[in-house]
Amino acid sequence: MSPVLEARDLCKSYALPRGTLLERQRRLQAVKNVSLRVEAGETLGIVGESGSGKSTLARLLMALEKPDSGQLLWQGEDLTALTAAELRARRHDIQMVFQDPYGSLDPRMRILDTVAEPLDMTEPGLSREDRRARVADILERVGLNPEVLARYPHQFSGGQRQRIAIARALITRPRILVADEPASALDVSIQAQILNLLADLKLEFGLAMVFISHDLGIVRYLSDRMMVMQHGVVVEEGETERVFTAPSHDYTRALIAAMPRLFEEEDHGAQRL
Amino acid sequence: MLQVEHLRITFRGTPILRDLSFEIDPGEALGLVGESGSGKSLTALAIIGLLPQGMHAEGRVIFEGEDLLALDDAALCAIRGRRMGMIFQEPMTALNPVHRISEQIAEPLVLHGLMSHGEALREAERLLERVGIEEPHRRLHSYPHELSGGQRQRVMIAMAMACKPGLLIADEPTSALDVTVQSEILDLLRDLRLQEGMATLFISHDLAVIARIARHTLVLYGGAAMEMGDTLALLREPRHPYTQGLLAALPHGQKRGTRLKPIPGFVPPPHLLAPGCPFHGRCPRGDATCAREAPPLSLAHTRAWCFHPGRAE
Repeated sequence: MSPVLEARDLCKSYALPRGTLLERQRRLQAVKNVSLRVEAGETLGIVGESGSGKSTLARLLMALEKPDSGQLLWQGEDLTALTAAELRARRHDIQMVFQDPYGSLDPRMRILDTVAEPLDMTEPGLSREDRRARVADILERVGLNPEVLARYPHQFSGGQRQRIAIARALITRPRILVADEPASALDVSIQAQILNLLADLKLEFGLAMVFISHDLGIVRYLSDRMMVMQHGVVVEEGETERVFTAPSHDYTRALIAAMPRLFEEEDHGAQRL
Repeated sequence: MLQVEHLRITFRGTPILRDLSFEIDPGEALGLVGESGSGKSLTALAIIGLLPQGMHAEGRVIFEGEDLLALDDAALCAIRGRRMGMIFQEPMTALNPVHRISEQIAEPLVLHGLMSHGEALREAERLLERVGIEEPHRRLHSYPHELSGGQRQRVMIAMAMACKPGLLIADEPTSALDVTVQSEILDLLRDLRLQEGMATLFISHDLAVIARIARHTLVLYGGAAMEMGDTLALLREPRHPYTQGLLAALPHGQKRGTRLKPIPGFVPPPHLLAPGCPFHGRCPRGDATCAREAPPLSLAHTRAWCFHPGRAE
């Protein structure tokens, strides 16, 4: 099977501010030679700490930023070869969900229009009834009652808002979903609802998913394969259970050892008192 | 060291915190765990006497023999910062960006009349070394923005420790940090507590972090105590349906493909919570009595405030 999302040797660096005018321009290599493949129905987890380059990688995968070098392919098509207009026409295939559902919803827009907005871009000719029906349908899929169409974001709880953000991401029937810490701002009891929903959508829509998180427990639960990033480089990748049970890189071992655990028998050296 | 007795907080007549009692011995850590709106941070603010405007605390907060709720502002000010240290999730909100960290650590020592300015600066350097800042002599003259998140949190801990407090209140101190840094800070807090014999109130939404730091845990929901006890006993065999629900919702240790069990519904605003047990409405065992009457204390290997305590189904 050919991958839905593929990256080959992606590199991205940023100019660092100069200390003095005479100082040589230094660059921060945010992402260095990162390659990955995600197939339909598969979830790739990406873990790393701040400064690991995982969020830069997400923006590169979404084609929100241009890599310095390397190739990015959506469903086999090389994006670097496309014009801006051609790229825009393919955007509905790849969508993103962010950590903070409050920041990604416009407080002045009704839920109907918020969720329909991406659809208005990709299918502008849709009748009012069809548009409404599509929104009601996707809201139902994410577990929200279509009665909510006329309400505004502030009338919802955090978990409901994240569902709205997910509905908005899915309404164009994307093939790829990039989720950057989608459950991290939520309370534990609500987080479980969102993780269940993502697991369902993967099966139901055959979504290829890139799941970025600092929470190793969630990545282990949700991902088929995972990558560990440090300083812009992939230091380890593989089938998720293999990485957790037999990590091969020191940094992966350090991350797993630092992970807080509920019970001592899961501990590998971490002390409790 | 700290005894909280029948602490209640109200806001315009609405109860925000209902009848909370607990105590912490010297050198012990109590974990206070709860989701947003559970009242865990307000409990901390009530203890240090910094509740937001319009909120009113009743009951007793006895610290080193004095009832803090009965003290006036001046008396409280003399205790706060000297006998009680505080650290928060975001150190930048507590650190002053325009002052060198040396001055900020030295300030309480001078202010509370413990040392001269020169002595306080030397003490600040010693404290920085104690909390694991490398090259403390050089770092002493840094400004907060020149430090990493983990270093800032270490500086906050140094400030909180400066006057050798009897009680440390830590409100989500590691929630904004990377896991490896979080692990170092938790180790540091444990070492300091054991060496200095401080009582620690450790507030977090993360049960796994609490499990690592606190011997005893108090679970809050909707401003009321749900369950309290030895942390391991509480995690292994919770008796309150809310604690059980929280643990079942966690993805940690669950096999891929098994569905998580979210707690149905969401936390209602305080004025819509049941006058009996606040968990009523989301609780699988709730009945009409639970909605009406405050749940009784049930004693076994944990203390559960519940009409229907027991094993999870």
